[in-house]
Amino acid sequence: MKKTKLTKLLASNPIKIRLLSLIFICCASPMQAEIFDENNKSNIEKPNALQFTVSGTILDDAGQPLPGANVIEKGTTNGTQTDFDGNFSLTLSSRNAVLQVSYIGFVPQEVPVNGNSTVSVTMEVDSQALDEVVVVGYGTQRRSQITGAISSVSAEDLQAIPLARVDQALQGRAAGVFVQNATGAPNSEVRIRIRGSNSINGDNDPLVVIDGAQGASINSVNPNDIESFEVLKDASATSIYGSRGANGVILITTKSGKTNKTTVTYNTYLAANKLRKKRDLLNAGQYAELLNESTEAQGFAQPFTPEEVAGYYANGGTDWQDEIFRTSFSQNHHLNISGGAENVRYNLAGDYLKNEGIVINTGYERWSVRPNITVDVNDKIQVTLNSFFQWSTDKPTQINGFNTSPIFSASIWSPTKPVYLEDGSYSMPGGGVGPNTDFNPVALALEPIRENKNNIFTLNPSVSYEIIDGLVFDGRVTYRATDFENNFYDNQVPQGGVPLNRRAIVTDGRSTYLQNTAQLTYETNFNDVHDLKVTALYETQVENFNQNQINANGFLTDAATWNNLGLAENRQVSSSISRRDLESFMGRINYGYKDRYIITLTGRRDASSVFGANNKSGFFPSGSIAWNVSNENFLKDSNVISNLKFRASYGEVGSQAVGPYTSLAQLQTGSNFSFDGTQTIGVALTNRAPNPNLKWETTAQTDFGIDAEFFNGRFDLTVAYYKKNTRDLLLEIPLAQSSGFRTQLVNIGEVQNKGIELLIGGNIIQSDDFNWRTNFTLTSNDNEVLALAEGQTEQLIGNAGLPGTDNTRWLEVGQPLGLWRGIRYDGVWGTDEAAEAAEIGAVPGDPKLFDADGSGAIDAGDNINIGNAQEDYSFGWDNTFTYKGFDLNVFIQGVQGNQIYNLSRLRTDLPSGTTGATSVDALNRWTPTNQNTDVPTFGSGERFPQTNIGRWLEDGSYIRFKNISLGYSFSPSVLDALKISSFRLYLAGTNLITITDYTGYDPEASTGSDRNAGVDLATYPSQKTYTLGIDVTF
Amino acid sequence: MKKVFKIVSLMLVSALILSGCNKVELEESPEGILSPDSFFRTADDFEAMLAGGVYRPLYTPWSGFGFNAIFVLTGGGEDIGLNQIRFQAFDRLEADGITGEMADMWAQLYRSISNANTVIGSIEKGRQAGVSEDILKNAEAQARFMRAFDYFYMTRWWGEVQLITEENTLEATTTPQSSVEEIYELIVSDLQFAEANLPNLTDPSGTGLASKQAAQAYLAKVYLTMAGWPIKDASKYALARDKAKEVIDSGIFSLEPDFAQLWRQANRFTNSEFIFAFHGDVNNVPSTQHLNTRYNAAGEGGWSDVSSEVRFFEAFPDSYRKDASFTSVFANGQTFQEAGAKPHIAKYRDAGDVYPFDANSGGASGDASFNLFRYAEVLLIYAEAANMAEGSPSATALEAINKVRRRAHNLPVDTPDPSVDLPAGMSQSAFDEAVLDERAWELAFEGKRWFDLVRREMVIEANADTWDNVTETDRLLAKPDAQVTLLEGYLEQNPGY
Repeated sequence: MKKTKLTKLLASNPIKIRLLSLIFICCASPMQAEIFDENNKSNIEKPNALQFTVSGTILDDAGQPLPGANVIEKGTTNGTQTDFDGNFSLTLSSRNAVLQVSYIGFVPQEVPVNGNSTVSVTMEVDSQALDEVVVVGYGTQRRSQITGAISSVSAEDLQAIPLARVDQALQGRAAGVFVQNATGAPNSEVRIRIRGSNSINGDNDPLVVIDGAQGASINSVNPNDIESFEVLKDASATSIYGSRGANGVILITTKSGKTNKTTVTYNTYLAANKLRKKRDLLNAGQYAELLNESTEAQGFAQPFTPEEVAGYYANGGTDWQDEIFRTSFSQNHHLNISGGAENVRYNLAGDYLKNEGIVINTGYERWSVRPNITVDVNDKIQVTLNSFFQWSTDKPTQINGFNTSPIFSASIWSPTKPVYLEDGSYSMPGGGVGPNTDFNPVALALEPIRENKNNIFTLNPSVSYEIIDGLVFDGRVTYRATDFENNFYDNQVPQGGVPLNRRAIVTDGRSTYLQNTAQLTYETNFNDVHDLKVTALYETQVENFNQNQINANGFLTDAATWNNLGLAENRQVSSSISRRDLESFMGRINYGYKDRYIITLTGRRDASSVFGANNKSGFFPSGSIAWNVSNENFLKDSNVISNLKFRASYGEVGSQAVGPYTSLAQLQTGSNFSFDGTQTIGVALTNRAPNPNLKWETTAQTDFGIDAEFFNGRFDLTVAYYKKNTRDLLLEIPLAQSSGFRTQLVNIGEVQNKGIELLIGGNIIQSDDFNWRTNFTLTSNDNEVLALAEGQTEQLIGNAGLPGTDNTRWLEVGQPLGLWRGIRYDGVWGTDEAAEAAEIGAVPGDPKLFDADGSGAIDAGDNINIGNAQEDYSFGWDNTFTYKGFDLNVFIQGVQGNQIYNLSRLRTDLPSGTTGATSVDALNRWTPTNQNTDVPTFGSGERFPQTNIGRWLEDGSYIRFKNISLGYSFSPSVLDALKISSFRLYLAGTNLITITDYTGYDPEASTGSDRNAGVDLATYPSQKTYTLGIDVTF
Repeated sequence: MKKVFKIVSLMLVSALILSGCNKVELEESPEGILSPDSFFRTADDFEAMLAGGVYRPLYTPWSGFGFNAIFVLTGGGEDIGLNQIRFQAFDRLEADGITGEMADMWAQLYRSISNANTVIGSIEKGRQAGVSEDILKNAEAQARFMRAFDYFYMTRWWGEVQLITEENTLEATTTPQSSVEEIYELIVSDLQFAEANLPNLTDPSGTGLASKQAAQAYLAKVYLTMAGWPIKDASKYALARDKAKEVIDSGIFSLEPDFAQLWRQANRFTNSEFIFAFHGDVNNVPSTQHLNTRYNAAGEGGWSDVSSEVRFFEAFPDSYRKDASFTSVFANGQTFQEAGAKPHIAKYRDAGDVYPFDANSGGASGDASFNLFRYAEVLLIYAEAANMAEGSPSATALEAINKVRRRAHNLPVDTPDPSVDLPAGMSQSAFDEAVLDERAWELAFEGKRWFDLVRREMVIEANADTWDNVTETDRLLAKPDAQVTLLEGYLEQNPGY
């Protein structure tokens, strides 16, 4: 028989499995599917009339009949199933035969017939078998069989906060997962780090897999679409993703249709967003008075007369924060229709999100559709088509910069200036008051226009075929195309409208991704005590990317903006294309003995086009063991401990930090030159030498964990310890410039992360009317650079973000990523310290800078390590209270021990020339009568370094009431009258309370990540959000 | 209905799976990237490499001769003062081995050299691809001219450096530094090759590329330099004189009658005086010339990174040339003294269009040119070299310098005028001193003064009153510390650093 041959072949030769799988996936057709269908026949042998017949009933522990239970004569293939009433009849070969009775969810039993013609069997519920099933990547596992570190986040938790993006909802929900809302922009960037940052120059973002499709964008997923959400953390769990798994993996399964009944769900909310906290800035009168004082202290004329100062006190001025921030509104509509007919199930979700930004002229809008269809072709073959389409438009503003950021300008512009002059034009910088090179904040918010459009198209078909019992072939294809178009037009009105400088930048491009996965899974149980699951996989991935950019300036008119680049005098054009291929083989074995001792072995071999010619492929193995102590006899009947598992794993996983073509010798283009005032196209050798040995970064991880449940699952606890060493880091090492190259990218250096994770959950109060469920997660990660390039103990990374901060960011062996160096700031010299101050040339009122090298002067030699951006720990504490129809969710989350370089204070707190201080801290400057302060006197900025000192470092710890929501679900009696099945109305407040000492807009703000983390420079401020929402199911 | 649905869905999924069959390519074949292996097959390929690889590193946004060379070149000379704290180390002769501007020049010069070596090393490849001999000869001569140009700056700044002449190679990491003599040997032979193979400069718009006359002018300057510190081979004065004479006798160049007009942007491709220059183009080609930056107050609105120095302004003889050289009165009518500022530089005020800032400030790209060699210097080289070679100023030497002096006062260049002319019968040393002074005035802010101080051993003398830390070792810059560390055993730091 064809099937048997195939099976034998598959079982005997792993290489052929790959080939066969490949052939199958490429060549499967409906015709062949029909042929396989022919094999769908029972294996039961015909009974012999001379033999003994037994009949009986199979009941569950409550005495109810179990239809469809398997009854097999032991040692033979002779068997049958119970009918609807739990009855069976089976002809046996002997009167002394033994019956094996099994039914999913119950403990299998062996019943000796002992010559009886009727047998009645009562089955016992198997608590292990009723185990939750967990998605583990290329398959599922019963939770008891899991040996790795996997956090499951429930869909309900993700939906608790009214957010249209799952990445934002993830914060504080999973131990070991650090989520940072680095900006508050309407289409904000969310950083997710699983068990710390491994890489210095490579990517530290986790791999996101949605319905088996790798590299999907997590921010496009609405929490309402999620069926399950898993985070793979240790090597055992992530090594199946080989060279892409080292940063951890997030697995999302979207909802598919389940029942024959059509269900319509509509979730909507309307939210109002307000600036979470205004910065404390001077009013016009205070500003004018202090500017007079600071300019005088620096030896310049006072810009304001006493009458003008009095006038500003009396009449006020411009509050620039009020001018550029507004109360904005967001809305989300999510409609889900799910259902199916016989053999066909579907789930159709549509989503609309509109986020107005709190900065004027910013906003984000997106539409998406997610149709998922499943068809059972027959008992053996299931076909699924998951798709996702999204259209979005983002209107951002300039953040994280100076000169052209409205947010930054608003913090430093003089409140004495009006928004508009009398002729209706914007007030301009300069004029002896306020900054000279930063422009009118309102003009910067309104005049340059930006529109970034993005379309995502995903088709994700798959087929699952059960070849024989336990052996399943899965074939999956993912095709994803992302088109983007980023438009920018700057009419230069804020800068005075010089026509040559009017400019537009139009960038458009497309990325496509194609993934082919062919997979065989064989799962079996033998002798009732051995659980075995074997997975073999062949997979290919191809990514293509191309983009074109036109940079035009010198527009004749502003009328057509970026829509007619022909109106520009000059145009620079560039384009690029790249491709990345990956071919992989993966094998995994899970073996469990009596559900007590479980072992998982995994290996993946990845060959990638981006690696250097001498290192095209890498192998990523892992192994893990688990011991389900609670299944041992001595704990089996415990009333206290319902589940207890110890697990340990070790493995090596990779990260493809290398970009396409990086290892190759290339000529650099775009290096044009003018010999005679016109352009000659130029090419040049690259600054970076090629490296044919370039390869992946490898993370070796050891993990120990304990999972426990008490009182029949009422309380649960997970504790884990991990240690990750990432070696072969991609580092750019300097080369002798006389070679013509400046650098070479090599695999060198090592970073370590180790930490502890804790998850405690429990139903603290369980009663008919009132329930309190709580979940607490704690993550503590310790990051350290173990080695850099050969002989190198430190490396300058560069500028923190403003001129003069070039010497700030460092890597140092023995220190974590995100290190700052500078001169330690110890406050201000008091009058009683005059003698001590004089030793370093200071007078009372001057900044007390630490003369680290004891040279008697404050200079570059005094730069020491002054802080780092790594947090000590982060936590999330979720509480849900229900009382009758009411539900209350209180979610608290926080971070402790990190520091933030509050860079914009360099300008708000430090008067320089005509640019006065705008921060209220200036009111507290040192004077002979105000000794107890850490704000130096005016004029001291000229005498001492100011840009690279500890004064701007602040404690970034915070505790935040991330969400407080109160909902009411209407009772069935009301709903029946309305012919709807559920209706919930809720009010929620997000970010209502934040406890922090940080003085910037938000302690989560960060312009960079990892080695550049923790700098706050004009980031998009966070918001307090008040939401009214409705969830209704028809 | 059910069956139809089933069939349709099966077909759809099968079609998708079939069409989704990936063909994996593990060998990269970049479609949008040029590979060095397949280049140098046409004349345009050679021109592109000269433009992008050999020239551009030297005149590129915020780097090279438009920016960093200014600080390195001029800091120690009295003609230019640097006002920002971050550049002042050069002014004070305190720049050390970690000074970024200096390290950038080191890197950019080696980058230009490496690309020039690649052009030279690819001539055979071009020949096999059928590129004509004329084109190849010209390309090689251009590349060798620029290699000489690069090493000439390197050895004057840093003395002994690694002499890399092979195509782009990692063996450079084990090449010991060469003696100054060896470096000059290569410079001279490269320039001689260029002289023999480059065309005459027939059109004043062609000064952006090397010509036979540019090669001769540089040879004259190289010989003149070899006659001074550190080689001190006095026999080279005669060679310098003769090469200068060849440029003069070519009849191609003459002094522009109006000194101020020489610096107008409109005249940069028509004046009769430029021999070799970098020319910016605000349209499309980023380039920068930071000497045009103005004072940051008094209505001027620039960065004020670069100005002149008061001592230099005061020593500068009053003349038409002085007015055209300095901005001593600012846009709001204040003199520099009234504004409490230094005199600023006027020569480069007219800088054409600049982007993205404006001409006052400088920007990433601009129209401005950076003149590297002009005819007035050839005349002064002749005067200096002839006087030193012959023991006393000849009539020709006297006429050469007097042409420059007359033009400085806006007088007819070729008409003797006793009110400004140096008289006949001066001693060798008096004339020599007059020539060196004339060089300081005429070539102020053009990056010449510092090298004059070095080769004529005047660094201490010129700076002792202002900076008492100055010593003889200040004649050479520190080599970049990072490079010295990387090349330990092969590249040695200069004394005093």
